[in-house]
Amino acid sequence: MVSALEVAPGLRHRLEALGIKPGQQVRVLRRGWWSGPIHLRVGMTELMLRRVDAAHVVVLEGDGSRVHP
Amino acid sequence: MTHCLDSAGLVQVPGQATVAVVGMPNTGKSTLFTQLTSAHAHIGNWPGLTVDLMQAELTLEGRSVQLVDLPGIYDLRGHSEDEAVVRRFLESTPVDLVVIILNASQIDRQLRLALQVQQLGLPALVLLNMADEARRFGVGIDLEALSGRLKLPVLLISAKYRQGLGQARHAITKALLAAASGPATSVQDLEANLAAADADLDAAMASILQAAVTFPAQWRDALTRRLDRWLLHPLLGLPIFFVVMALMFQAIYALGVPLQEALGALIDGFSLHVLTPALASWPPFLRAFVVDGLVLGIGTVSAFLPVIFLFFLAMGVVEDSGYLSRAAFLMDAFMERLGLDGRSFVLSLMGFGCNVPAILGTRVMRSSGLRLLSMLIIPFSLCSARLNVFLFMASVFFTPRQGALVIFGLYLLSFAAAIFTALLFKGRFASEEALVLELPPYRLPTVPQVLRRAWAEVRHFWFWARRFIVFGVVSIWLLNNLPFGVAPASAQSLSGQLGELLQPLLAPIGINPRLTVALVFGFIAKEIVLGGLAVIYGQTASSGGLGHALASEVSWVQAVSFMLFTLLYTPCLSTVAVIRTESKRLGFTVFSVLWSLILAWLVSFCFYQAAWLFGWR
Repeated sequence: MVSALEVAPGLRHRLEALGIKPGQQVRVLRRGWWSGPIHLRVGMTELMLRRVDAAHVVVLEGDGSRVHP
Repeated sequence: MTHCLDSAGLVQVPGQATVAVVGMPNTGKSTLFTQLTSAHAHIGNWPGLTVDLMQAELTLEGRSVQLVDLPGIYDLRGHSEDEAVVRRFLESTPVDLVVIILNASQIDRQLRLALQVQQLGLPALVLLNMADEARRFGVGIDLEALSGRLKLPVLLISAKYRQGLGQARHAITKALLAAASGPATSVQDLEANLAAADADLDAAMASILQAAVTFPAQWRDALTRRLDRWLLHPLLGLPIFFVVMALMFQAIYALGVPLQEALGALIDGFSLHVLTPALASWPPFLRAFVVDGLVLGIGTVSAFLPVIFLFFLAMGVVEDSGYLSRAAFLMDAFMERLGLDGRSFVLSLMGFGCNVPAILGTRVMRSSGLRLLSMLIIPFSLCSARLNVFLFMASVFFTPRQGALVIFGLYLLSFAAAIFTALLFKGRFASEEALVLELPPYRLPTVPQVLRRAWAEVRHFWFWARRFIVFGVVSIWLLNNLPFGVAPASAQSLSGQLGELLQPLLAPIGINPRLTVALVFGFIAKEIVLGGLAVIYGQTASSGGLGHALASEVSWVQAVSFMLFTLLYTPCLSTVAVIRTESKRLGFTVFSVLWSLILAWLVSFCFYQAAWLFGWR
């Protein structure tokens, strides 16, 4: 579950338009080799997101602990 | 097309309705646009906008309509260049109707754009594209409920399979009639309007979706899941990708090179058997100018066309299938460290075929720093034209086994030059944009779709390239034949004098005056290098005479130095022209040319001088 977006407004608009916004469930499908990008699924959309950028998205597990990219 | 790149550009015609097409990227917007307009689109200049927009005039049930394809955007309030372009367009141009295209299977997030347009109070119509995918993934849409809630007409279509296009045309006409009560207006206070409604947007969206759309309980795309397990495999993903690419290149060149040669032979035959006799009564200088200058120039451009067409055909298949974004995923980790991203890698790889379409391909990038850095490294990709020169030189100066090693080394150097350049300049062309890419489900590309796109790209190439290359070829021809009465490309001709003039610079890297003239030829296109050498030495390349003449005058060290220089300096005028038109910056174009010349000289210098030190001659 996404809890907050701690990003610049430009990226925030992009992420929200792609479905990553507070309250939304996300699923990590895979992580790329050599700290490569993360493959995510949000709603009906699949995305790749670099870890640097993903670090600014606060995602909480079901038990409330924060997930780190 | 009859009217393209018309500098007068476009202005609105009184009595003609203006319809703007808006949608997110990857919704099949361009496919729909070309299908509605039957590809009669051309590029128009809109006042106040720096980018070119595709537009087309069509007649819908007797009414003249101008359809404008706006860039794909995620959010009307977004911060990207494209989003600003759409905002400026809507603020400055009165539109009679906005056609909003959404991906039906992703309506859960894309509905947002429709709500934003509705917020602006513009007459609008919603087309839910990719109806086939929505069905495949189990997304159910109640059109009536959706239309009622949005207070906009909503249609379900599939542009790819040409379903619902007739209804879409009819709906556009109907919507235009309904909107005809008032004159078309541009949007006032766009930003303020959107900002005011932003807070309620999410709630409004959720309630509409709740009422009109049903989503599957589980993700149904088992095919994509299974394919991704292999194609994005941590260990096997990259090897599979390289094999696929290698096969693709094999196919392009297996088909393209014979076509290119056939076309070249056809043009040669025309100029020899038709044009030369026809111009027999002309003064010799003028005749040679037309035959060896102008026709050679146009022939050079035309010979590019089959390979470019096949290249974009293959690119279209890879891209439309969804594999290209997977390749970007696989290579991104490495490219990130070079200040580039996964897409730049894919394009550089394409550059090994031909640099020109690879540079055209950088259009997929939004960040200008990233685009420029990609354009800076793509010309180092060893294209097929350079490979021709290298294969010939290697066969003259080396045994087959040594020759293969030399060619392999040149490929390695090509990669090294690109990586070195990226590392050196990544600070200057920093990418300010985060990489968030959609990984679409795997799709089967349709034949008409990829054919149409490849054709459009070839047309685009032809339009800008012909003037530029013709100009280049003609000026080199003049250099070789002026002043009047000299033997072509001899020491007394302007190019011969140029060769002598450049000796202080090129002698330290082992390039003699004659090779210098060949390099000047090579600036137009590497295809001409062999032909140029043939003219200079007065021998033909095919008979073996050129090889002997070269080997008797040039040492293998000089030959390698010549190859190194040829690999690294400006690939061809077409590449320079496309960098100029795509970057829209003269300064950057000059920088790109200069940098490649400097790097070429330095590498050749180091090699040649080191070879002397080791006593190799």
